[in-house]
Amino acid sequence: VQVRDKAGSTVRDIRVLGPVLMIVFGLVLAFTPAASVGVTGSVGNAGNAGVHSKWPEDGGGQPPIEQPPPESPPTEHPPIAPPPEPQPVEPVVEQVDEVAGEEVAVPTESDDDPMLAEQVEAAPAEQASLPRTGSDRATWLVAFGALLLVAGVAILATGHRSASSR
Amino acid sequence: MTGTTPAAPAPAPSRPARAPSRSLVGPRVDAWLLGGLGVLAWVFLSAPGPVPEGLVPVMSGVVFWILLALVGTHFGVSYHLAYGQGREAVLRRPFALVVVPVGLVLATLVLCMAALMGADELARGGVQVGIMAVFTLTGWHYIKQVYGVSRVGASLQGLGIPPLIGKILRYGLYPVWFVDALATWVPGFLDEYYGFGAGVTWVPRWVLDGMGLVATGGAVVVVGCWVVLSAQWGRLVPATMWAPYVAGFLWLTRPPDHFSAAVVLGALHAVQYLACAHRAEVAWAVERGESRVVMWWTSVFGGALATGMLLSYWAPMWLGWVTDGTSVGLIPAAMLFVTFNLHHYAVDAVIWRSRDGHLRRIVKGPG
Repeated sequence: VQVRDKAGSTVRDIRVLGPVLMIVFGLVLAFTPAASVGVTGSVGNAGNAGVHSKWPEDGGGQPPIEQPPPESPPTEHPPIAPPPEPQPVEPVVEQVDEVAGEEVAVPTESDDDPMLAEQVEAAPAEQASLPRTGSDRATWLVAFGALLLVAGVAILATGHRSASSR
Repeated sequence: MTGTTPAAPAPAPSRPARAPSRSLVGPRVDAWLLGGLGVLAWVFLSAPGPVPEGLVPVMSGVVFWILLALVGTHFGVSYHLAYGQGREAVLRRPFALVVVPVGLVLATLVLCMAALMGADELARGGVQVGIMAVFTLTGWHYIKQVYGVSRVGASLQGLGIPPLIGKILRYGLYPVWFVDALATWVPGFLDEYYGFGAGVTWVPRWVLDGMGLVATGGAVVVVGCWVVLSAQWGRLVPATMWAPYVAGFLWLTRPPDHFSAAVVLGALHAVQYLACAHRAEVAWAVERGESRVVMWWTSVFGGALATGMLLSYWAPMWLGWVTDGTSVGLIPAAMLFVTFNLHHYAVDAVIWRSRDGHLRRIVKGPG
């Protein structure tokens, strides 16, 4: 079904469809950011990223960073970005992960170090979601959605106005 | 008709036909977009030692989302290029554009039904086949694009390639794909992806090592072709030809680890893709008599960004969030990942053929 607007274009016209998609997806992202950081995710050809990040030389055999245990409930997970390189001298928290809703620290050396235990307890909650930027994914997705929304409205309005003035 | 009356206004002088541009985006940036950036990124990310301290926060912040957006946009644009030409054009390629997506959707439904009926082994096995198909064919998709953009780079310069050398340049990349694919077939690969089996152990490790040598041999032969072409053309092979090959060879046979493995490779592939798609879309708009090309372009790429991000990132996340814990588990999310990847590969396999309008638009401009 084609619905004509005043400018003579149709909803199947990319000049209308494009900005409408931007608006719709902007709204989806802006209002459902939490769902967007659920248990699964893919970044297009990131299927291949799984291939490369677990190249056999790396040892392989480990689930990808985004991969939760199959039986775990939906949780937010650390970003795809890899954990920092291990510090050779002092035992530090290398990565804070969530397993079945609980934060689990993965130390570089020993779990027995009391200093390490203190660091684990002191790890802020936001560190579990995006430790290196201080912002969580939901924030980025809301911003991204808002940007799409504004841009979509602007394109739609500009196109409609210039078509009407012709 | 007896001729024009004196009062009739003189016809506007016709605009001289513009010669088609010899570049995709710009003569100084094309080679960077088609492969130069990839080579630079590979060198930077493959450097021995830990990732530089200053890089990590940048990579996981704004840059991370830009990379995701590039990947998503390239998915979205491919749908417009394939399906935006109308029903007739779609029906000229029914297998790739109709049968494949419908078949993948049906397969998803069947696997979900199997899971609901308790045939868990069948359901999980089916998803594993799908995931393995994506892992295996991603390299094929990449090397086909490397060959394609390299030929476009030559054509834009008016440089003809003899058929035999064309075949060598094309099939010389296949060992590179095999290396990429075999990495998922040897022991030691991922145990799981999306909670499903990923990776098989059908091939011993030495086959992968051997294929790496074959790929290196193929690269030497390709370089030999460039030398022959240079002699024939009386000039060096343009960077738009060799840069995609160098980047493809490095990334697919010796991929760096770290963050690069997650999204950088996909984004580089997307940049290469979008440079060509940009030119095709602009020429297509002119061909359609579109007077506001910028508006067209913005609408296309904005819509592609939204669609691509929705399908490739948000939808699998949302599906997993909704269905995890139910009888179907992560099957819908995993199969969505499989479906849009395999569908995209099928789309690209048909829309960039020489007889298709988009390739002509890229090389010769609006028809």
